[in-house]
Amino acid sequence: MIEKDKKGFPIRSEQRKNWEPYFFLAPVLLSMLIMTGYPLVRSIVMAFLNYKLTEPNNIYFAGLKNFISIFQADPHIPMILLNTIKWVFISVGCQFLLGMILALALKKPFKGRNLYQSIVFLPWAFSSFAVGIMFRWCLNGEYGIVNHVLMQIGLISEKISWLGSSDLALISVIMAMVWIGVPFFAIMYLAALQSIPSDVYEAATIDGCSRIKGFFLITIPYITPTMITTLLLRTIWVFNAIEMIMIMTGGGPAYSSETITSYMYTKAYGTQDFGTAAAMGLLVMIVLMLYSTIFLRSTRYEESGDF
Amino acid sequence: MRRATVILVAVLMLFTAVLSGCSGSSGTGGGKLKGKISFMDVSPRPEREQFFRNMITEFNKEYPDVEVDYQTVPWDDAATKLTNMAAAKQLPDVINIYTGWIPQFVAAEWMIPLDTYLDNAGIKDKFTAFTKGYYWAEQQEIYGHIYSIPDGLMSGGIFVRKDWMEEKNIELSSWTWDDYFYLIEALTDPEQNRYGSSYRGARGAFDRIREYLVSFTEGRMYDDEGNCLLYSEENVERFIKFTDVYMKGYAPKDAINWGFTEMVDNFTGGLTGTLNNDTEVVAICQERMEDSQWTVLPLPASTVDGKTYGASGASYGYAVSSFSKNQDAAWAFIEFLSRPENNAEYCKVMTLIPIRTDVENDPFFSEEGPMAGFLAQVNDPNFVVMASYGPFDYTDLHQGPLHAEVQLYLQGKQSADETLKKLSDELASRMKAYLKDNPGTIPQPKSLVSGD
Amino acid sequence: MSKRRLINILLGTGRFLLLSLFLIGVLAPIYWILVTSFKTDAEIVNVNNITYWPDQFTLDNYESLFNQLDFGIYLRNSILLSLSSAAIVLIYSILGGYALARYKFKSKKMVIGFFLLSQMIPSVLLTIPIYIIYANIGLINSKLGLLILYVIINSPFCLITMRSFFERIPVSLEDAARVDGCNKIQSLWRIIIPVLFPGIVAVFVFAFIGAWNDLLMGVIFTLSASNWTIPVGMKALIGKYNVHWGELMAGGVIALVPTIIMFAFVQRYIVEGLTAGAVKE
Repeated sequence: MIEKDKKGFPIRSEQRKNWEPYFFLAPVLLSMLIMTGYPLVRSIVMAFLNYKLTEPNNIYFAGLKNFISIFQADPHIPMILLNTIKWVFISVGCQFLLGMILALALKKPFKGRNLYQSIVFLPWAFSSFAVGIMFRWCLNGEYGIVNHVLMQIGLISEKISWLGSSDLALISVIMAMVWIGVPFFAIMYLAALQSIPSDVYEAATIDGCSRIKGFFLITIPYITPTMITTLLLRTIWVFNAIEMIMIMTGGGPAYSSETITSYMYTKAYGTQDFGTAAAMGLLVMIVLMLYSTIFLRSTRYEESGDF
Repeated sequence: MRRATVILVAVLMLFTAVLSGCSGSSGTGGGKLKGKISFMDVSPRPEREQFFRNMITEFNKEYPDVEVDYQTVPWDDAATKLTNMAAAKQLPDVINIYTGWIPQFVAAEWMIPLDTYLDNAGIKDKFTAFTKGYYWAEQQEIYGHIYSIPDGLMSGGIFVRKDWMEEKNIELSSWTWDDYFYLIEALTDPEQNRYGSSYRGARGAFDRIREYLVSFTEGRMYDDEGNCLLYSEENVERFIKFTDVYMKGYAPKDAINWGFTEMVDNFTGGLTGTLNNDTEVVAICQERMEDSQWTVLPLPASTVDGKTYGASGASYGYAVSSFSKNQDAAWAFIEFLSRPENNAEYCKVMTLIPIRTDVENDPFFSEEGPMAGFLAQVNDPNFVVMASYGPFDYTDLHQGPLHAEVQLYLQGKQSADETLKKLSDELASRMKAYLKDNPGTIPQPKSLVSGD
Repeated sequence: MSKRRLINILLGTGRFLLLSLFLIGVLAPIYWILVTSFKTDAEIVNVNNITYWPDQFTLDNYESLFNQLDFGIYLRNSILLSLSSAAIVLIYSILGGYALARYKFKSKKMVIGFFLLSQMIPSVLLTIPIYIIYANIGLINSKLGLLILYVIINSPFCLITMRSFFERIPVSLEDAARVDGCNKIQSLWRIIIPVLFPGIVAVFVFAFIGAWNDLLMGVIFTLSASNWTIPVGMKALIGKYNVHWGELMAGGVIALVPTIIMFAFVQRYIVEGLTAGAVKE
């Protein structure tokens, strides 16, 4: 009997030698185990300790104290959780939608497409720090180009303080995050779209399938694996991304653009209470793991995803 | 064990100093110190780097066997970075410590007391009254020891656009907080995109408000039981009056996110007409503005007793890491940096008030000019250094609630009364908790001249 | 039929408008930092006169980056670290990706799960433990230390991506090589790699950009400016006293130039490399 892999290619028995894959994976696994494995174990231990750098002689096992104190004393946590949800879903959602639209628009070749692509995909190559600085500069309430342009074309009559208003700060940071993230989706989806053999569409056209129907019946299923991988990874990355927030607003004004991850970071270094920080970090990881599991299960990744 | 060695070495050093006839602190024992020390500059700028590199070269003439490793970190990340280093027990031997970090560093035992070193070097008396009477006096009161040598001293002042004042024909006969508010309003001119104040809305926001509020409490923060004096019915009104600078549009809307950097940047850039800031900003103004554009006024006087209440002290100091394996060499480097000629040069570059008495008479500081004004202010008997927030670690408050709560008020999300009450309750509860274990540690206002 | 044509024209126009919007959206902010980098300080912060083109064109900002500050060194460090870490990530990814694509083994899911997990760890949990490890083995303030970190950070995603490239290449290609007497490594090197070239370019670029744009690690794990990278050097321009906007924008432009050049050449391969079915059986 010949075994087959998930793409239907036969796997030969000799390729099942036990040591070979480990041999190939060894370099990366070893280095990763040391550099992330150790911190992870340490964090798990620390989450249950009273571990403040400012109390070096007062380290003891504290049970669940750290976890409880996260929710107990802090009246701002509910708002920050809400911000986090907005931050992740709006920014990933917009990146996904715009990336998809861009990929669809780029699918059919046109003159100069290569040049166009090398420009439009550029933001992906920028660092969040540089983009954060750039947007902070453009959105400056006084010398910002955005206000200037909006006033000149008469859309607004008064300068808007984009980063100085608790209603707009988070959205402004999300805007910058979307700007940087669209190309990633566009590149991935464009590649996926181009992988669809053209004869599939031809057959569909003969069957009298409309464009819209074709999109939902052929295109979407075909690129689902890519969508799963990109959405999952991006969500995790965006969740943990704090640089943009730090550089644009520092979480302010009045916590209005703070996410749980950026809050954790500021808190950890402000209080030097790394026990509580570790507890928060673990909670974040548990949430992300749950999310990933549910996400992958519900999309039946076994058949389709890259994981 | 280590402590004993330190004392022994210190005693030996003193001994040699006596033998050599106390001919200045230079040279003695220099050849004996060996090894490598590191020094981290937490606020690197080309001119600072230049200064420190020169200092290291000079230092090595005297201590040829001590290698000094000059390290840097961007200011924005300095605190985070030092925490990482400390957690790994790898702090630089000589820490360039920001005053706001001191409570945390002392609590975590990351620095060693410098009293013995200072006594043995026999130079303590050569420091200014300001250094002894305020900076060290406070450390001794709170922690029982001296932990850092200030790099230079500073005090607050109001930087003003002189040319705008002239344009508007504004003359001030007196200089109280009320005049200050009047000036801000008068300088505001939306037509010309001019705002009266570089309002501080982000980190440090409450420091400014506090300065105004304590001018009604004789500079005190707490009563004898540790109740916070900042909250009272009248003070809520004063809180509103102060924050009205922002609420009434005498500062840009963006100012809610402004910290130190943005305040200065927008004053020197020409957006705002006044800036409440420290001595060190003089250098920036000199660099970026015309002399005819700006001047510095002292801090406004209290409307109650005519005295001036303000913060004062040092931005940075030098301290020796408790993890250092070369503490003597680290001290030697600090002592070297603190010598009159070196301190004078540093204070000129950074526009700070010198820490050594021999330097105060240097024309740069004593003659006409912005620095003379600052020097005069701190030596004025009517100048009172207000009480500090407290001896407890309040870094986390400073990084969050102390400005975030005020921002909530500025955004209309909570009342002034609620804001001030929340903050003073939090401060009071910390003060009382600390007081339980450490009686008699309530911070008191200090008048420099009378106290000495 | 004419209805269909009309739809086509409408779609064409819509597409053109859409693509133009995207182009403007990307170019506008870049244009603004470029223009700002050529302005004098006075012009940059002049509220009353916002200029779309510098009144007084100046290269001062660039000059001071290279003369007063050591951006030359930062640039060299950035290029060196990004290139070398990307090369190592590439090797890791080819080996690991091959293993994950071509073998069935017990802990495969665990390995992939671990890669995914590694992406979820917040940086606040990582820096201190790694600092302690590094301090013990003397990797603080060394380029090697940063290199290792960049490899670790960028490996998981690149490896997973590489794996899907391998899955698209039919085993039969390898078999053919085997018939010609190649061993596994030889067949990987001679047959698969050339076919995989666009994918390799894509992964290399992913890893390069990941390292190029890092700020946190550069800040935490270096001690002297001689080891700084461009983002760290830029961060230092946000001083305690003022933000050097002109220099900051110039630094941003410098950080962009290499990536722009690289992108112009390799962007084609990235999309191609990610495109399945490029390799026909």
